[in-house]
Parts: sequence; structure tokens; C-alpha cells
Amino acid sequence: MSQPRGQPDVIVVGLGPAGATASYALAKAGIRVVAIEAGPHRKKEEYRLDEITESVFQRARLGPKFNQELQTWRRAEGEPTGPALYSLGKMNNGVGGTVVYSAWLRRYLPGDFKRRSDTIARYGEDALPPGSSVVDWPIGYDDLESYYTAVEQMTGIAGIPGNIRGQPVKGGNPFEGFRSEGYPLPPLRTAGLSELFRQACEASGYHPYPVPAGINSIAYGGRPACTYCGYNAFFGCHNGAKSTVDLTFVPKAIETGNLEIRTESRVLRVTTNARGHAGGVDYLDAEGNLSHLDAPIVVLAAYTFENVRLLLLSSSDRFPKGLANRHGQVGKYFAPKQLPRVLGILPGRTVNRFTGPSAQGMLIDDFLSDNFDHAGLGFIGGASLGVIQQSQPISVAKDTLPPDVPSWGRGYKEHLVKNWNRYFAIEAQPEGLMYEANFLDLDPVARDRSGVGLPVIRITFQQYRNELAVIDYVRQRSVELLKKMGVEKIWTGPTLTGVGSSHDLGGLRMGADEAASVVNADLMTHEVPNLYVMSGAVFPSCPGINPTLTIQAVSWRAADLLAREWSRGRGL
Amino acid sequence: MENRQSGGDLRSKTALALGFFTHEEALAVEAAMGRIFPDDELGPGAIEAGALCYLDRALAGAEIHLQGFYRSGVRQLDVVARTRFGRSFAECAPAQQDDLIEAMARDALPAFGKAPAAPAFFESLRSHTIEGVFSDPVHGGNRDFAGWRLLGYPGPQPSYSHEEQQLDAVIVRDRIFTAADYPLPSSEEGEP
Repeated sequence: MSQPRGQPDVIVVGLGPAGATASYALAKAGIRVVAIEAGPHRKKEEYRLDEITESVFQRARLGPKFNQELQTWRRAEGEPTGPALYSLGKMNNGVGGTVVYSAWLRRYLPGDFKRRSDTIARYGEDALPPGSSVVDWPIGYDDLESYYTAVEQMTGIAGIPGNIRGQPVKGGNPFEGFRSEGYPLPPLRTAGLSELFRQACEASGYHPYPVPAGINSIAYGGRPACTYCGYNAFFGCHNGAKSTVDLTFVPKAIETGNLEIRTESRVLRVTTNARGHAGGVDYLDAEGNLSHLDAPIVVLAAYTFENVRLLLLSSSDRFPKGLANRHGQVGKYFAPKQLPRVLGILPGRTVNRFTGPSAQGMLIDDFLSDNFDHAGLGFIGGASLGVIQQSQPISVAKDTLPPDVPSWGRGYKEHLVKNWNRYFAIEAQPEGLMYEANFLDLDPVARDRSGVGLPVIRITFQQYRNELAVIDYVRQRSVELLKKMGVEKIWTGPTLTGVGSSHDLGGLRMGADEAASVVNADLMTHEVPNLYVMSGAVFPSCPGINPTLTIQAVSWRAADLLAREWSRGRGL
Repeated sequence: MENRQSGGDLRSKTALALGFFTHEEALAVEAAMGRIFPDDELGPGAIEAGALCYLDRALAGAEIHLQGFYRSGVRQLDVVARTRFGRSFAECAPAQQDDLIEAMARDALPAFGKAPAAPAFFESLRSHTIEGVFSDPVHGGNRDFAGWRLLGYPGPQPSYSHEEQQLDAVIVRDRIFTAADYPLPSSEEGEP
């Protein structure tokens, strides 16, 4: 079982969006890849339409390994450590990785790659908040454009492009960067709530556009169109209409004959050889036996927390602080996404949010990034705002209550029965700056409950003034929009929604400066020349946009560059 | 309905099926659930929906790690009930039970102890009550779709039309669906 069919050229650890995209790019180039995946290779029929078993706020069945290795959290060094708080943030294990994602697949905006230089040019150096580490990415939007397009086509994204080769498209997002192609699929339907939001936005002079969704609006890629059953975020798609990489990149990579997948196999550490290069990985195979696999190249493509953890757990005499950590940068500059909401009741109406997927929604980017003038506002960055479909009874019953409604008893029940189909939220996705004081390391005490008993990741995170100001500002805009939509009763959700959000970025950031980053622009670690990280962990910022599409684009680019180097004979 | 004898019978009709709770514990939990989500003119409450059965089954299986938490929590709830009202929680009058739950939520019961702390026990009881009312009936609660009928939620339907996604659209279905309507591949074991 653990015997390879000959030594692979590349080991990919984790077969989620990053690993699957990279595996496809490598395998297509003739490189033999073994992907080691901690979870199973599930069939779509295994996904249940059941809140209790599947959803991340209940039993999160699809992430058994993640659940055994839950992170700990403290707000700052010296403060007490307790359990981590998760919003959407319990991850999955299995081929396809985040099969429970909403499939909002949006490109980052050109300015998101150069926040530092743009901010200084427009507002001066003093606009950078104290303690923050705002940097430009070592690559820009133009470096990724062709990869964004390639991922969109391969995935099958439904939406209205903001432009096609620079020509604006009506109904798309005017803040988008240059696109060489539009979306392969027309947008999902517009639900009634989205239409109401669109009207309120247009009346305010904003620019609403439908969520670009990795969900088939019509049949595509041999998979059927969405039936709008409403079980999307938190659930695997039981009919295959949601485009997850187990249905897109993985089958195409397997077709090349160059990808072997070892499922239910848990990597414990990256080993190094006498030259100080990565030699391969130690892992527990599907039978629980300790196995080893050698390869000339190792790619870490697990989730943010696990990539950081594996580097720190791979310490040795030669690498006493962990692999690729000579300058103590591993784990630094961590930013989870916050998901603040403003809720309201549409009196006398029903919104029917329980129909349709959470990717069926309407958005504005008018208050995102630097799309509006920040002069005099006292903060930088912003958030996208939008409304979405999808609600299930337990998520509704556990949702944030208006302040005058008790959390139990007759008053609670009455509110629920009367309002469960009348209320909705404007959902914000704020940018979060990275800070020196927000980081990941190994918990000195807590161990995983998998039977292996290795240290888990300890998250040190709190929100700072800039991020609180962003949230406060976009809440005010949300209240204005809710009132325009006819909402009468308005209340807000929590400001800190979690330290595990499923958009948890940074920790192994990319950069040109070896002393201030972990990987270079091509995602190779500065210290270990045949070790790569493909993951949201390499992001040097956390824009207010879902990261998966960009994770795939940077991984594809890095894998292409690696394949090119490989064909020139490097690495052996 | 409230004139049960000391000890008394469960109202949830789950006594024969208890997998974790003792009869005494089940009485206390059932009573608390009935106050957290009461039966009233709007429709059935947590007891009628079988939330106790949901929780008992969860603690005997998927949430086995919470057994100690519940065993201690229920014991402490009875301790504070006896201290304040001279009888077990299940034997208290509804208004007394409400007092105790309210004090538990506010962390205003010094005698409750710390393992678990009163607010944590309240939050857990509340969560499990909600789940017991609104989860798919395959898990033992939401009996006869009591919770879903209360909301007018038709269960996991296979599809909705564009018209049904509009504001104020009335959605009518022949029957309520459940997770069990979507068969699992035969190779995989179903949940117990």
C-alpha cells in the first residue's frame, strides 16, 4: 500500500484547491506527482442535506482530522489561552479540500496587490496604522490575470464580468481589473432579496453585481445545473453542480496518468537530507502505519494552520526552529477574515432565503479596498457588502437576536416563528491588515486528539483600531441600505466573529526579502530550495474578498514556473 | 399537565429508549427544555418535538465527550433547585424553573459550581434544545416535523423554482423532505 510506483518527482501535501490546481499543472507537464491527502475521496452521493452532521457550526463531519487538531487562541502574548472561536472556519479533509465552500470565486482587485505603495502615494506614510505590516505583494494582478482566467474557465464560474478586454460590461463589477475573458457561464438567477438590494444600491449610486459563483447556472463540464436546493455553504453538493476541485482539476490531473493519490494519509513532517534540502515526508498511511516517501520536490498545500504546523514540527538539529524558519518568520502576520453582519426584518414580507445557494447573492465593492476616498476617515481598507440566499432552521434559530428579544422562552419562540422568513443580513467581508502581534505558533501545552499527540497551532490574534473602524464604517453604510430596502428593525452581529474563518491567511508570507518573509514570489521557501508552499498562508495581505480563486491562481502560476524549471533539468 | 407525581413520568415518550440519561436526569433535562422552548398557542415546544431524545442520542454517540458535562450540570441544577425551592428541578413549578434558568444564564447562581459553569451549561442546553427541535428527524428530535412545521420549512427539498425565490412567494409542497430521502451510497454505513 505504501509502496510508490517508483519515486515521484513531486509530493503534494493536501489535495484541496491549491494542491489540486498545482497537481494538475505539474501532471500535465509530465511531472509524476504523488498527492498525500488526510481525508477520503468522497463521492457526491455521500454529501448529506443535514445541518447536524455536515455544517461547521455543528458536527463538521467532513473535517475529522481538523476537528482532532483544533487550534487554541489567546488575544495577545501573556494573556490566557483558550479554545479558538470559529465562524465558518472548521475545514474539511478529503480530496477537493473545501468542498463545503460557498463557491464565491472573485478575483482580488489590482490595488489589493500593492496596498502599501498605493496607500503611501494617496494618503502618505502616516496612514499606515501603528503595529501593522502593510506590504505590497511580490507579484501583481497582471502576473495572475491569465491564471485567473484559466481557473475560471476550468471551474466554470457563473457571473457577469466587470469588463471584457477593458470594455465595461453592464451589470458587472466596475472595480474589477482588466479581464482577458468573461465568465464561462451566465449568472445564477436573481432572487427577490437580491433584486431588492440591487434597487437600493442603484438608488444610492452604487454598483451592484451578482456574486461570481462556482456553481453551474447551466450544465457545464459534464455536470448538471444547480437545482437551487439551498444546501451550499457548509455542505458538499450532492448533485455535482457546485464546482469543487475534486470534480474539476483532480479528474483532469488523473487523466494525465501522472497523479497518484494516497487518501486517508496524514503527513507528520517534512524530512531533510544531508544537503539541507527537503528529502520527502513521513506520514501515517491509511492503515495507520508510519511510512516515508522520498521526492526531489515537496509542496505543502494543506490549510494555512497545517502548513505552518508542519514546518514547525519538521525541526531538526539543522533546523532547530523548524523548516524555513531561520529568520523566525514562520507563523508571522496572520489574519483571519471577520464576517460582521447587520441584520434586519422586512415587515410583512417573506424573503424565502431558504431557497437557493449562498452563492446566489448580490454585492457591491463601492466600499471595498481603496475604491472610495479615505481622506479624513482615519482608516485604510474597506469591505464588500452583500445579501445572500440560503438559510437552514438551526442556523436561523442560533442566529444573533435583536437586543429586545430574549434568548429562550416564549419571547424567543415568538420571534423565531414570526420572523425567521422575514429577516436577512447585509454581510460584510472586511479587509484585515496584518500585524506584528498577530501570529501562529505551536501551543506549548495542547496536543492533537488524533492519537498522534503532536502540538496544535496556537493563534495569537486580536482586532486593532483600523479594522474596528472599517467595520464601524461599513455598518453605517449597511444600515442606510437596509432602510432603503424597507427594513424597520435593525441590529448588528458580533464584531469579532472568529479566529478561524476559512479565509485565514498569512503565516508564511511571500516576499522578496528573506528576513521578512518565508517564500519567494514563486512560492519556494527562501531557506529550503526544493520546498514549496501553495496556500493562503503565503498571502501577505487579507483583502475583503474570498481567497480561493487567488489561492488557485498563485498556485497554478507557481506550479507552471516549477514545471518549467524542472524541464530545464533542475532539482535532480 | 404540571401535576405529576414526585419522580414522575417523562412526557417525551422516550423512557424506553434512553441511551445515556438516567430517568431522574431525563426528567430535569426535559423540564428545562420545555421552558427554553415552551409549548404554547403558536405550536408544540421542545418536549413535544422530542428534543430530549435528540440530546440523549447525541450524548450516547456523536457527542459522547459531553457526557460528564451533562451529568455534572444536571446534578448541579438539582442542587440549586433544592437549595432555593426545596425540590428537584423537575418538581419545581414552571415559574420557579424559569427563575433558575434565568439565573443560570446570568451566572447568578453561586451554588451552581464551576464544572460546568452555569452560563456554559445554559448555553449548551439551549443549543441542544434548538437542535432537538429543528434538526432533521433522523437524529431523534423534530418529531413529526414539529419544529419544521412551526416555521413552515419544507425540509431539504430537491429544488425550487425562480418564482418561488421571489419575495412573498408562497411555497407549497406535497410533503416535507428529510435527509433520509437522499440515499447514501451502499458502501457507507448510515448514522445510527
